[in-house]
Amino acid sequence: MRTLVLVFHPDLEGASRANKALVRAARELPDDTVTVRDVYALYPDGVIDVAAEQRLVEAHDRIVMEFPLYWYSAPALLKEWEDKVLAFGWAYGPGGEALAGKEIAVVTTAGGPESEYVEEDGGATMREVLSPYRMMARYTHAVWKEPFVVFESMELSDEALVTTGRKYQAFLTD
Amino acid sequence: MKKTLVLVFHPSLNGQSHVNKALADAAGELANVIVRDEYALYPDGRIDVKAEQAAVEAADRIVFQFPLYWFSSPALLKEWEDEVLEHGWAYGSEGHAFEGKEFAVAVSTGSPESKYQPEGDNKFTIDQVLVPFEGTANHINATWVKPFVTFASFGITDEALAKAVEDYKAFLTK
Repeated sequence: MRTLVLVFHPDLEGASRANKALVRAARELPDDTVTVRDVYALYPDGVIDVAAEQRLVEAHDRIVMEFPLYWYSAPALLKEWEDKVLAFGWAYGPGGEALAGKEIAVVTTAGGPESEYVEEDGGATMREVLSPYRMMARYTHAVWKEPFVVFESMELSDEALVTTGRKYQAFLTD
Repeated sequence: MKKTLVLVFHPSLNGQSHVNKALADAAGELANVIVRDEYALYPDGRIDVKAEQAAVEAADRIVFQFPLYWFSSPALLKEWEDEVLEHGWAYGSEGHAFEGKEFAVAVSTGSPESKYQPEGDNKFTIDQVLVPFEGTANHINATWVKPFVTFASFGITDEALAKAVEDYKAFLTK
């Protein structure tokens, strides 16, 4: 299985710690099976090369969207990617079968602990927070793979980051 | 009377839009309601953070109006959240900008409400889809107002649109 990891962090090489560690782990995997792209670095002006992104999706079996959770969602460029790349006639609608049968997964880092993501007191579970991506996968007839979520991402020790990186490698290759 | 700020996020409000255009035009005729066409204001996607913060500060109620794209807002709304909702202004120990203000979402969906049911095609309700916005409202200590939803907006009849417009006016002025 060939896996495409699309990383959406506005400052992956600067302010990021958890996502940087995850990306480092992903890049240790053989590059004929896992392709890693720092999408913010590729498109600093926010203008996405739709044809290039579509070709990459077509060449892989599993699409992973990795991002830090900002305001209970992905950073803006991931939404721009969905709005532009997942075009009518390609991802959905007549002849739109590019994602059909491929796996889609979300990998996200959250600053808060898992205990914050509960329905009590008007809150919401991580399943609900990520429901827009699950629905996108369903709409494009892709296969949803359960998300890989890193909680308390700003508190993790260097050792915990290494362990998380190993788990991420297993997630990307299983 | 409450001052209401309607931030409209439609990439082509004066072109392809039918439902959001009608709703935005109706909102613009109301007293004490200010409407901003955000995509028209920022065609290059670079948001004037200070101008947006000043607009929020002058209002008692903030409404995000948008068509649902991929079970979320168009990308510029996410950019708005990521840039405008700064630490020390919207949240954090010094961030009180939204305290005591109402916060609502006005969204149009192509599909009918019957698809947004646990047993429907989309599997999630519209309230679950909008969890990221409700979570954001809670995080900035705004008062979350039940969303205004226009379902089945594709091919909407003139009669149904006229009713949606009247309902929207009531929603914005109550």
